[in-house]
This record gives sequence, structure tokens and C-alpha cells, in this order.
Amino acid sequence: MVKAIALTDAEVGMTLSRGVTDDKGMTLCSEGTPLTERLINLLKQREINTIYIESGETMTEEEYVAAKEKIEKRFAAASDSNSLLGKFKITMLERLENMKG
Amino acid sequence: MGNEIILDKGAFRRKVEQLSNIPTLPGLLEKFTRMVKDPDTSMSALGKELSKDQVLTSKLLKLVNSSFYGFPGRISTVTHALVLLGQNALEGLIISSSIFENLSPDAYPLWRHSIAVSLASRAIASELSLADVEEFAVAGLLHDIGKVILHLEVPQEYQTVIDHAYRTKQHIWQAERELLGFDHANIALWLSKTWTLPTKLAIPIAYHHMPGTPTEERIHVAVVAMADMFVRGLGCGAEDDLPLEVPEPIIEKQVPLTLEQIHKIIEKIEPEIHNLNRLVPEDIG
Repeated sequence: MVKAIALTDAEVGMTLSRGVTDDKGMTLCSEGTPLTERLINLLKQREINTIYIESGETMTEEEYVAAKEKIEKRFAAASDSNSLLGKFKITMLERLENMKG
Repeated sequence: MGNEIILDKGAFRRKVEQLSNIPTLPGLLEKFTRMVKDPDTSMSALGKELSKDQVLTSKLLKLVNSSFYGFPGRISTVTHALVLLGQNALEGLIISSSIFENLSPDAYPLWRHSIAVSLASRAIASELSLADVEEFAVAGLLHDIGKVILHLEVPQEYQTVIDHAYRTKQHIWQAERELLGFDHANIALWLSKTWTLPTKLAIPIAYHHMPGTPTEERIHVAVVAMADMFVRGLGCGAEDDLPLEVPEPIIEKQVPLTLEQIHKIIEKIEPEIHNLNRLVPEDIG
């Protein structure tokens, strides 16, 4: 499962599941790069707060259903998929599907 | 059970205007606004004068350099902060640095929510290529300042309001109106007069729950209201975890985001908000 973590929690040996870009959109390292101490320090210097790693955990079916129910409840008023709330709901559901993998 | 008003509105308003629990604020703010309004004060003179106040300087620099707030990094002087962020944003930061440091731990979720709305306001304003993005970020940071004041000045009564909101499944602002006779936006209006806040900060703070009301600074109101919605949608609503309402049409009109833009904004702010969960104010100034 892809997981967002604070850079301060990054550990040598973790693998980036998404590339890292700086504020200006410049790619600093690509998906699949293993974290080294040097790379972690470089990302700190470039003021990166958050990275995505492959956590090795898998989302259970129960967790997925619970997360989906939460979104459905929170976005119960989003009946029109072209409305702002509808588009926000679609985004949240897509992100959940991506997390599940 | 009938609900009686639990606070004397007039007495509370006087208390808010004096802000006895935030002793450092009135002096600093008065000094800042006096200098800003003096046409003879240059940016560098203003920076120099503010720098004489070491408490203010260290607080502001710690805050603007904290990566969690997302202000442009590596700011080493108050003059530099003024140039980068602008006077309006800096005035808002002076307020936030004084107000938030006084919070008790039970109000930390509100503090995290405020930072999250600040991050989201900046992300939305950037995505729309709006000018003076930092003003939006600071308006977001201060949008619930009325709630912060309630936490600070009347903690017991405010806990009663929060409990009532949970029990009756209302939004906090609705419970505030029911039990206090006013809501946190009213407090923001009183304060903005006392502090002579710039309208680009005062109006979004006062109208983020009623974005159709004001006739000026509508884009600021819409961005902060939308940021509040995004943050609540991501589960960082502080005391307020009710289903989202359909936003007023004015918001969609002012901030017409596409699905791709929403995706981009959420992609940016979600991990940042996630990381706020275990932070406390001392960590970042």
C-alpha cells in the first residue's frame, strides 16, 4: 500500500513509491528510488516535507469498506458529479482505489 | 430541553475587545498598524523598527521559516518577511503567533485545522494563479480566530457549546448561535474593528460560513470557504465532523475548479494535513 509519511520519519532502505518534485516542479528523484542517508538529507535541504513510500502493508477489505463508507457519509450531499462537491467526492474515491492498489 | 443563552453578549464583547488573556498582542499590533499606515515609513524602516522587538522577531521568523506553514523558506529578517509576504499577511501572522501560543491542548485540533485551511487556501490560490497568495494563506490560518478566542476567554462555556453541537448533530457555528446568541464570525468582526484588520483578511474570516453575503473581497471569501470544505472533507475538521453541505453557488462561480485541479490540490495538501496530526504548537512556533 502506498503511504504518505513525513520526511522526518523516513528511514534508509525505504523505497519511494512516487517521484519527488520541488516547489518549482523540478524532479529530485524518481519512483522506485531506494532512500539513502544522503538522499534523505538532500530532500531535507530542499525543504520537502512529505514523501510517498511503499509501506508493504496491504489494505484489508474491511479497511477499504470502512474508508469508502466514511467518504460516502461525508459526501452524502454530492448528488451531481459535475458539481464542486461531486468532483471532490470523485477525487477522494479515486485516491482510495489507488491506495488499495 | 430548552436552550438558554449561556453568555452575556455585551460583557463578552467587551472582554474580547480587551483580550486580557493575550497580553502581548495589543501593543505589538498597535505598533505595527501605526507604522504601516504612516506614509513616511519605508519598508526597510518598518522592518528595522519591528526588529527591535526581539520577541516578535524571533516568533515571526520561527513561524515563517517553519516548513509546515509552507511560507517561502529561508527568511532571515523581518524586512525580508515583509517584502516576501506583504504587510497584510505579516499583520495576520503577528496575530496568529500571539493567539495560537496561548492555546490549551484541548484546542490543538482547532490549531491543526487552522494550519490545514491555510495550506489549502494557498494551494487553491496558487492553482488559480491569484495574486498575493500569502494573503489567502494567512486568511485561512485566521479563519476560525473567533473559535480560538472562545477557547481562550470562556473555555467552560465553549465546551458546553461543543458538547451541545455533538449531541444535536449541528455545526459548531449553529450551536454557538443557539447557546451564545452569536457565532465565531461575529467575534471576528468585533476584533477586525478593534485591530483595524485589512479587509482581505477581515472579510473572509467573518464570512467564510456565509460566502454570499459580502460584496467585496469575494474571491478571498470563496477560497477560504472552499479550503475549509476541502480540509473537512479530508477529515481534519477539528470539532466539526458533519457531512459536507453543497457549497453556495457563489463559491463555485468565484473558484471554478476542474476535476484535474481538485485532484492536484488534494494530492498536494492531503499528505501535509496527514502529517499535522501529531504536531503541537511548540514544534513550529
